[in-house]
Amino acid sequence: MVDAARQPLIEVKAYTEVEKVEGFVGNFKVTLREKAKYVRADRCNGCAACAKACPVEVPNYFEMNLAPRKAAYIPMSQSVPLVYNIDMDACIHCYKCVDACGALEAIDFSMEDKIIEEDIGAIVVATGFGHFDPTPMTEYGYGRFPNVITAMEMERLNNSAGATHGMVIRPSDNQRPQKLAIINCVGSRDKRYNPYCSNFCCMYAIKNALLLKQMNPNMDISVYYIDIRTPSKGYEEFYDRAREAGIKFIQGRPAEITEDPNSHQLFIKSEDITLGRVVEHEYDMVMLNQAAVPQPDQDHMSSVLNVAQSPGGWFMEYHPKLRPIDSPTDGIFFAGACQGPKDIPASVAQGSAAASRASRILHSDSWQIEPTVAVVWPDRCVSGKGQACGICEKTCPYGAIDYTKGISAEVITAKCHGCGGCVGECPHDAITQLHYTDAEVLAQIRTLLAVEPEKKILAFRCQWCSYGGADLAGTSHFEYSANERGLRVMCSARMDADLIYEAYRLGAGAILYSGCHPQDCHYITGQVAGAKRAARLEKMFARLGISPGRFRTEWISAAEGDKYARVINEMQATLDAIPEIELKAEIERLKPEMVKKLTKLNEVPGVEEAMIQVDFIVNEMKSKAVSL
Amino acid sequence: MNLPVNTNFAEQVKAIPGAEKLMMCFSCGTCTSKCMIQEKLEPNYNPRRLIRETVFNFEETAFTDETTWLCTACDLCYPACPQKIHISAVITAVKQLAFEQGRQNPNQTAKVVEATCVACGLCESVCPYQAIKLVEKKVPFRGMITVASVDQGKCMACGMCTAACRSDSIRLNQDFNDNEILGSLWGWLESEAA
Amino acid sequence: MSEEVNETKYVGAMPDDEPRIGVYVCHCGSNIAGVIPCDKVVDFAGELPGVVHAAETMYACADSGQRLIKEDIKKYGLNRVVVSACSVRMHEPTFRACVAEAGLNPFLMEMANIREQCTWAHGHDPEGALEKAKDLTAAAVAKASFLTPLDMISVPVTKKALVIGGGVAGINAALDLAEQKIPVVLVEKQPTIGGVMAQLNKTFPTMDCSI
Repeated sequence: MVDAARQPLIEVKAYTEVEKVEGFVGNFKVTLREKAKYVRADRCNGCAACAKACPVEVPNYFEMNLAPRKAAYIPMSQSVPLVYNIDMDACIHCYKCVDACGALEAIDFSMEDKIIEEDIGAIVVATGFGHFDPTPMTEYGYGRFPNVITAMEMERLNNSAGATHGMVIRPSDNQRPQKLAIINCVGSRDKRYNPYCSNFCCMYAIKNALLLKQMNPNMDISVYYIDIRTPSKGYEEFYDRAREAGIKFIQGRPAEITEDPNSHQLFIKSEDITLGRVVEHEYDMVMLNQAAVPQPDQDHMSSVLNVAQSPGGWFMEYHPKLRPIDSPTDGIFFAGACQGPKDIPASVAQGSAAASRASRILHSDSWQIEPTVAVVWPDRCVSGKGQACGICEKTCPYGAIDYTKGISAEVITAKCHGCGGCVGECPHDAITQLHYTDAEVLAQIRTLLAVEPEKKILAFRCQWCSYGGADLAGTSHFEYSANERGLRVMCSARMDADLIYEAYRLGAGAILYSGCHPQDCHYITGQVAGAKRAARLEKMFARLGISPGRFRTEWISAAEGDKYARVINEMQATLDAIPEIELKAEIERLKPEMVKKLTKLNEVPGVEEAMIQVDFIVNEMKSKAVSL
Repeated sequence: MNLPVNTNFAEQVKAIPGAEKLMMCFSCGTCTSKCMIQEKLEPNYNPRRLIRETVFNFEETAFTDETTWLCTACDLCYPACPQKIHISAVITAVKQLAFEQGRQNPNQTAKVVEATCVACGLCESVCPYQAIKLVEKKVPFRGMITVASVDQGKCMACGMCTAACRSDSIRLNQDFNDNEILGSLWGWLESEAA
Repeated sequence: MSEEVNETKYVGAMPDDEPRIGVYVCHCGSNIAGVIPCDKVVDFAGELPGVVHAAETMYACADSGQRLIKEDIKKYGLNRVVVSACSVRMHEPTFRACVAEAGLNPFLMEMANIREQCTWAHGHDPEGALEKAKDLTAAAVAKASFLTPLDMISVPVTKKALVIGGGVAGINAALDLAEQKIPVVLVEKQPTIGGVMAQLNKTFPTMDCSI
């Protein structure tokens, strides 16, 4: 902590929040809100005179609200930066602090939040975790029974700098507990709250048990656990030490804690699984080892940074094994528990790893980004011919399209992220996306539907989420129908209606239109454009009498492999339920409708020549299928 | 010791609706510590152990385990289970399989006196376990008639039907018939009065 | 439309060379070959129009596999490469780099995902998986026929890092960056940095102080 404050190249901005992140790798524009402290950092010398003079006391979050602080405060004596803060919600404006500060004149009640803009090359996200509040688990009585406390409260009780100067006392009568229980997995490994293991609590229980035992060797300490997990260097030995010190470990998760309302003594009945029978013990105090949960504002940060969340709410890495530090957005990296519960050694290691991933970029003079950007064909753009349009500009989430009536629209390449939304929306096919041109995507559609198209489920998937979801289904071996044929574009916004019409014209059995959940979209609002189009298509297909389920829209994240497999299997079941003759008749009936809608497709530059060539491939595939 | 194993037992239990999550049990013991039967009635009662026996296909052990036969499906354990396993449904499934193999409930259950049953359906409507149904049946001296019938697998011997029956045609065994209960009640009142 | 217009105006619409495609079907040990016979996919792909060479490889991503692709590019004069193997999320960068080393533009390589999205997902249906693998390979061949060379876009880099969160991970990241002479803005929403770690007493397994 102090090192960070001393390092001249680190500018510590405490009491500051990130409001907005724009731009792209190497060129982020970040808006920060430095909240008003009402104490001038350049003048405050941390002498604490203001706090001494302040008559207002409120609970200190840093002490888990076990100890008070003043309205003029620092959270702890070693605070970095050592600048006092005036809590305006608590302040009664008596100005005693101003008098106490005297000639320093550090206190300034006219301060306001400051908005700061920074140009940034790379971002390390290390927003950490929050603590599970066990109040809803009424069976453990937290909040009802004074002597049931959480792990973080215990931490501030046994800390010599804490609320009681390191004296562990029972909240009900301030007596020192002689018999103490620790319950593990409170809110973890519990499908009612958080299904995951919080990673460090087993070790944490052992640490606190040992600490308490050192303070009072006569203390009788029991740890209730489901499994003890010690999977790191020196951890099992630490567990050994705890047993040697006489700490009792009871395998069995207690169903509830009861209390004697007069003495506030606590009773835990649990099965001792190793003994195979139920045991009941009385305790002076119980510590609940609560789960690690995502930060309360993690959802908000997720949308500010535009990075997705895994189930459970943690930030989602690019690849769980191969790129655990990278976010799916180039130039944004994760460190520590914001990506999932982690202990200190792992968090430190990830901090270094993230720094190393970021410095690859920050040490370069320039950085290479994918050229899969949009390109306008100026002579096809109607704006150049004097017509008003601007649909592309409205669709673009990045403001990367320059539209002025009378001049052909233009793509600002450095700003374009390559979602293809403008390509999907342009009514005049005047924009294409490099590496995902209409010719290229149509070539794939035609080949995938070359043989027995009525049996196929054509799945349009965005690169970032649904393609990843399909990958995860495979990696997890969630089996689904082999009639699925997948197709990748960058974003659901690129899934041009023409591509869907073409697939039905070719006789596709069913079509899945899938992409990210709206909050996960890699392209800010790309999914919104995709979803609007999908809704339009759904309505139209219903009107045209396409059997329900033959066109399906699903938002599937990269973490939802099970969902991907389920959706495909459901679609297969839908297809199976339609008699073959009826299905074929429906397909034939629709073909002319689709042809009507596709009049302009052949005008798209490159498509006509490309399709001549694709037909060679398709014919070859058909002849092979016949010869089988 | 090798316990007799029906290698398909866990699968059979899992296939019965309600028991699907059987395999999710990680043996934390919350159910056992929550259980009132364990606390008040039978110290050897243990739903966690029964689930384990089932998971490992120990069919015979599961069928003879008192847990199988004493569970009243009060479902105190269900909301407490961190894996959201419907434990009483698993136990009911085990019991159902036991009956399918012709096992008898070792505990007492309600019995219908078919000679006097008028099939009014009162017992069926009060039974909290849906253990009673009206069936058509050939009854000695009465021929083919409709009478109440008790599902031995579902009956928990609570006595609701006995109390409700207006023709005294459904009964628990002698310990709990009306005369016995009235007798002990009078006895208690008299001793209180004295 | 005339050929001239196509070449001069319509950026990216069509390539200006005849495709000479090489197809590589990866066994991935038994991950793919354990479910489908890869040689059948090779036979199928070898006869598709535009394909001049098709081959199996035990591990396309291994040195030997990559060497084979690079040698074949020269030997058969390939101008497009299709790799039927795993997910693009796994090895697209690998094979792009591979063809680039052989002098081909990296965007002239296309992958077909016949592992995660085929054999791993259809282990119960080897025949369906084989048909799907063929179709996916054909689709990649079809797309590859129209791939045009692209250059990566170079963007400038602002040499400054932002670290969001002043807990143990953030502090450590900031220090590591600063020690490499990179300026860092370390943002913390609370009035002090330190995070949860600063609230702890001793830390496991060595019981040293947390601050």
